[in-house]
Amino acid sequence: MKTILRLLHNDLKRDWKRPWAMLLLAMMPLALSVLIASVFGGQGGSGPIPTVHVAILDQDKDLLTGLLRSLPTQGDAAKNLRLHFVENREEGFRLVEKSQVSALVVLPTNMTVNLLKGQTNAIELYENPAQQVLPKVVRQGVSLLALGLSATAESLGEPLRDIRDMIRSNGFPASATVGGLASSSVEKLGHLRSYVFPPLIKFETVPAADFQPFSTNMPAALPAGSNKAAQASSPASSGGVSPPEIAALARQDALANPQARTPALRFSP
Amino acid sequence: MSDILLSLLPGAMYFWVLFIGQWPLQEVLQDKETRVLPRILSCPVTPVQYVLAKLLRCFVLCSLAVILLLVVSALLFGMKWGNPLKLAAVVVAWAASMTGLLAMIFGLSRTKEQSNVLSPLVLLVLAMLGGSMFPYNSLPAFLQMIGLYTPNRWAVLGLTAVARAKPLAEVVWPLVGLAAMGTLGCGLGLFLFTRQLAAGRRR
Repeated sequence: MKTILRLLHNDLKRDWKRPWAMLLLAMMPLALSVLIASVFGGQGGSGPIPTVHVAILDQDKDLLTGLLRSLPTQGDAAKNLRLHFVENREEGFRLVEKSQVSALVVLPTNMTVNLLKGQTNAIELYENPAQQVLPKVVRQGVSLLALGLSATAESLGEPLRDIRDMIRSNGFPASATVGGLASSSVEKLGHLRSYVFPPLIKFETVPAADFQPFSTNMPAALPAGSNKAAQASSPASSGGVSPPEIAALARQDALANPQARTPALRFSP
Repeated sequence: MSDILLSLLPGAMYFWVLFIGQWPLQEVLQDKETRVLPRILSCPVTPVQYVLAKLLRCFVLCSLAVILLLVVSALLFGMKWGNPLKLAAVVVAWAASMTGLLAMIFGLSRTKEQSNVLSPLVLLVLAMLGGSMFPYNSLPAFLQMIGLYTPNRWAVLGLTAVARAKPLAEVVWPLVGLAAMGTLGCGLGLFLFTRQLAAGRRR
């Protein structure tokens, strides 16, 4: 043992006299990891959420698109979403090419009118190919917007039509007309009460380490024979189940058992 | 920054520190080739003692390099590596497995040139499969399956489990794997080296 330690001592003494190559090699993992982290990770999870820049070509310039214009100036959206309104496609493409925006969204002519008439509209989306993640965020946002507009037009179509006509008319609206509109709007909203007040779907952010699937989402926690949509929407088990599939399952459940619709849409308790 | 470093650094550390641990074992082959070894062995030193001293030096250098990296990353980037006692166990297991792995590689090599080819080959393949080069979770499923049996993966699992204050069971199994690898590797390496040196002595 003494001999081994003596040999070791001699070798380590030699290493101590020339440590630079070893120190340089020891620092390599740190240097490379920091480099990779700063290139791909930035500030990690604790950093600020990036601002999404979107070019909008509003060819409609009507009630609904006017409402959409005002949305990003409110709440958290004001911090994370910047809309650049352009006058024509060329201007929008130029912003995309310069990478000043993540996508160009074209709202079609007569979108509001067509929506209120129940006709199909097509919102065009041009993604910036030079960016990886943000255009996909915009795509998801536009899908949500289309879904929201369809639902709004379907459920509040009549009052919205009247409000639009009232705004467009040159005359000052009669109090009875305004009262009637308010009352019919409230009546329509009353149908949504069980879904919206309080909302059935909540959005929460939690640290990944603290994430626990909600009891309503866990397949094991579901009673026997409970609806398939609730199972499909479970974060723990949803691998490969796309939102349209979940919606299709929800529709099947609703047809089979009308009472099962509410739990099918419940993502959080 | 420390979050993302925690997923990148352990794998990179294990990979790069192995290159530091190579030097003592490379010296065995170098001493043999440059005829320094017969002179050392003419002193009252047996081949086993000589090889054990080199293995011990490899262990010490790997431990020091890992400790240095842990300390520097904690000071510079505020990384929290967890309970110091558990961390000490991880450092010992890491250094032991590195020594064992390198002892096997260099014990199998007959010349320094052979070791120069074999060592990077093995270390790179293990690093790729074990998640030292790419994020392990982005590997295809079948490679993840293979990667699960690499020391690099066990090393990453052990260190991240301690850093994230995971239950003891999650810390113990990777460390048991590393310690077993260290013991087996050192035993096999010692056997191969002493057999080589004894054969060289006879000639």
